Amino acid sequence: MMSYVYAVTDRPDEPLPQQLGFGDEALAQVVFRDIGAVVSAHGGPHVPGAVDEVWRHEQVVESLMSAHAVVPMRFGTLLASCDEVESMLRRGYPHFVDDIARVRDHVEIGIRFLTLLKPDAALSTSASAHSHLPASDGIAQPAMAPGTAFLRTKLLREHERRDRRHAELELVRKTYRVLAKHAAASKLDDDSVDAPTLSAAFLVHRGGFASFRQLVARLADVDRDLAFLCTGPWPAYSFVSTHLSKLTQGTGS
Amino acid sequence: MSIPIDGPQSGAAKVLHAPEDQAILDRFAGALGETRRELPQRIATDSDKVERDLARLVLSVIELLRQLLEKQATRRVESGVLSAEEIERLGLTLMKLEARMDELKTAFGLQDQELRLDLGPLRDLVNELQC
Repeated sequence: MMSYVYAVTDRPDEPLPQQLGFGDEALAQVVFRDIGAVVSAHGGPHVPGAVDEVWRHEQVVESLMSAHAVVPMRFGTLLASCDEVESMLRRGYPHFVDDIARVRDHVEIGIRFLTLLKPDAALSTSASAHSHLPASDGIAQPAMAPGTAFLRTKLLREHERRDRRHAELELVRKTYRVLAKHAAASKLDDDSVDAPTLSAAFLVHRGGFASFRQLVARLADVDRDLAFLCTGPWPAYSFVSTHLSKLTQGTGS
Repeated sequence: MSIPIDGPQSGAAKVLHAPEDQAILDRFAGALGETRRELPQRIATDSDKVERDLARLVLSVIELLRQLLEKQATRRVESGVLSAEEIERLGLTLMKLEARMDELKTAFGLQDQELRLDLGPLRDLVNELQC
């Protein structure tokens, strides 16, 4: 039987919650020193990726959070045996300990930002976008050669897109910075050039959860150019550094 | 202080704040759907569908390459290294390529949004080219 890993926790001496894992298998613990991996037996090398299974993983991880500091594993973390799990704990021990200290008494809050800028709000520099093209007064003057006019139009659109994205990013970053001041750690995923929404994650102390939520609502009320979709509290998936691939020798899936 | 971490049954239980405007919520839903859009994992073996699915797969790859060529061309134009003749030649080539793609899309009844590839890790490479 393989071992499906849900999380690594502190205090492995504490009893596990009355929560069943995948396939209604009982939860078990693999202990190494003062940390433990919570697992359940799994019949095959694949984990079905249906929504119900994702929620089951989430239920197990969250049920552990009431009594432990929890380093959540990504959905689908599967190892060949309990020996492999123990080996993972041994190899990653210092990292797990660091992660446990970081996430203890904290939860993750996720926010998706959607900018509501008007179509022409961001266009400031596009008019000077094509000084390197042969001179023309308009985008597609009749006198302009067709290939050049085609490229001129493409270039103009490209500059409009970049200007707009720049304005959207600035808007999101401004709000993100305000929220980040109220979090122990935060991350903004602003790498995707054309993603319609931008995602941020905030590591918030349990004691500050309610006020952080209120702050989100207040900012959303004030900023009419930005819409927020805020979810949580989640296990701190975005704030753990221990990646399974670094700790196993190719047996993880 | 206790906060409600007790095992969710659905995503709705996890929403802490959402816009009240249904149109904005629809845009969020659309954005999430867009990130998940991908080509069918299997090509249909149904004889009516197989030609279109194959065309969709092939045209998606060609469309990606065409867009990359276009980005590269606009970069070269911006860099100022091309002469007027070279810009015209490049523009004409890309114009014909776009027209030909439009013909093929029409022939197979495909929309632009059906030709978007989920590139996984390659997305970063494409984004880099777009910057």
